[in-house]
Amino acid sequence: MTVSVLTRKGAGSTGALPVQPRPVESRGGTARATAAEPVLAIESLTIGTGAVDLVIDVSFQVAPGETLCLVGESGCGKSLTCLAAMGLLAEPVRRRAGSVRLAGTELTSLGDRRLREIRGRDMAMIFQDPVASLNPVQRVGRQVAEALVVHEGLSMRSAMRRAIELLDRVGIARPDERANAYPHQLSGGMCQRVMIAMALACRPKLIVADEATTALDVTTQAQILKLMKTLQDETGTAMIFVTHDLSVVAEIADRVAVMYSGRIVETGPVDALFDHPAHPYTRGLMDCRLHALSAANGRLAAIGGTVPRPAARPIGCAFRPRCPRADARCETLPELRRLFGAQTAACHFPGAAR
Amino acid sequence: MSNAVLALQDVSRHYRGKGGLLRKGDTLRAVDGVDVTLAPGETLGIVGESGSGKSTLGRLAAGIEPPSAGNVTFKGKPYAPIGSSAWRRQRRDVQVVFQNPSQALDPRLSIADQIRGAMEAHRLDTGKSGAGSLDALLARVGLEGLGRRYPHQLSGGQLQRAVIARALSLSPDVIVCDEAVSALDVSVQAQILNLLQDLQAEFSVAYLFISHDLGVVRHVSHRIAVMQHGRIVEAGPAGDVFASPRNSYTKALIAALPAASPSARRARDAKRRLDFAKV
Repeated sequence: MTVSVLTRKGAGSTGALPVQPRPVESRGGTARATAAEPVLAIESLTIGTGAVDLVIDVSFQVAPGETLCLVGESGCGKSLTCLAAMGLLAEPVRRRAGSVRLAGTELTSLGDRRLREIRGRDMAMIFQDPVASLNPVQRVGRQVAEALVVHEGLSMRSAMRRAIELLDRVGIARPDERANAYPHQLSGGMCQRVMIAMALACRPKLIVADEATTALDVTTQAQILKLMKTLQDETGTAMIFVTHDLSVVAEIADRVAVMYSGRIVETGPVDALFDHPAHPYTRGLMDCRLHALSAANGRLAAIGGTVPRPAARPIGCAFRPRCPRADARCETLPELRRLFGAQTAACHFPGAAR
Repeated sequence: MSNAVLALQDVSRHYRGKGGLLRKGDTLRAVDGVDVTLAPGETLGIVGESGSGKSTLGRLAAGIEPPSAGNVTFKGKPYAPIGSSAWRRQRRDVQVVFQNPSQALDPRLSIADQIRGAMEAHRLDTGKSGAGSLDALLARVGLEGLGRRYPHQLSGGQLQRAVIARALSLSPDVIVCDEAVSALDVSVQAQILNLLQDLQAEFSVAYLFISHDLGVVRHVSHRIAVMQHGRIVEAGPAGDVFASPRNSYTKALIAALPAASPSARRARDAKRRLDFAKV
């Protein structure tokens, strides 16, 4: 089938509209998206629970058609940042400060009802475990169609037709039959394709994928990554891709933000980060990568120690106890500073040799 | 191979459906006619995707599951019937390290007590673990002074070190590592891989190293076997299997690997376009 389901044919509007995501409807005098404007702009975001801050002073932007990879080890705050962007933080974890703007609309001041209108329509999220994210007692076609009924006001009948087209678009063979399947009847990779179809259904401006390919086999992962890139090229959707896997970053990122213990410690274009990582943590992550096609060369350059617990972060730079460059200066917190080009790092000795 | 510490000859493990997950009468051939040998002090990597049968192979090799057909011999002898005292004696020499260390440890016992418990279960003198005293053993795996801690007080990497220490306390000939580093963060994964390699050099323990991660397997293994649908489709020295794969499935696995860097990705994509243009 060659029909692009990403046009709005039969969606109750006049003819085929352009494939670009539509601008966020401006209600209540909020600004309209312009070409120069980022799709998502997070500024000074701090998230915490009790007396502990889990995400501290995080700022970044994502442009239309751009893929930003959020990289870091477990517990560094990358998933919480994404949940905050989606307005999905749940008690006892709260946003303490900062702003989240989607195409100019401030989301943090919106009520639940307005947020629900925006989620699924203007921004969508894909989680790591597709089987757990799908409703086990509902056929997958209907789950994809639901967003179209809710957000685009389609009848269930025409939404189902669109859902089948979407399933076809994400590479599911015999989509009309598979639409009638329950999640448990599909493989993990197939369920992830369904999740992607759901995310794409309303042609969102932003897709947040949290470890979306981590649970998949390599061959399936390669297919899904390729699919997401192709669809992004067609639709111009901005993407935030959360991963701990640097080779996935090499595949898909335009820009990268590295997080450590709740803060962004380095950002930059993907090439700059791989060619000359400035922060010692980024450098450490690069050094302990393993690739099947590189020769084994004895011991790995492991980063010693472990990530500190958020309640027991050292004063100053949180990476200090594990850092080969650290000295007394690192007891004061380094700010995220611009180095060369668009690369920034929060280190007193950026780019220094070990 | 006559000097093999562990040998699987034409081994199969089939599961017959009883009307649950598998329909009645259906047979799942989890492992299907596999030949594998492991030499003392060697690391054999087993790679494959989920459902390829690699974990079942590990369980057969460790003697915790009987084969449906074929022979599994450990130090020249087949495993005794599961549960027998002879089997228990054999099991002491083949230890297993699984993916999730917090599930492999008892939350109510301190790390030192768990190691002591394993040694007592095998009627070993708890004063003499594989690396000398228990304190020396803990120090050897990087847990110096942490013996009195409980599992919830340790990080994931530390817990996996504890599991390795417990396995090591029995001076095994073989450790089956089933996705032993897969759940760990990359920086910690590198620490544990270094530890496993150091321990092998020191105690000449052999590893059957099972993982879906080709990069990790490439790094630790002397030899590699690639599994698909319960069979080994390709095996050979680690350097050769990935550098010049002969089997089409191995080739597909390698082609699917994400690139090592953005420049490697561009080079690969350009080459693919060129190859496509040639066709």
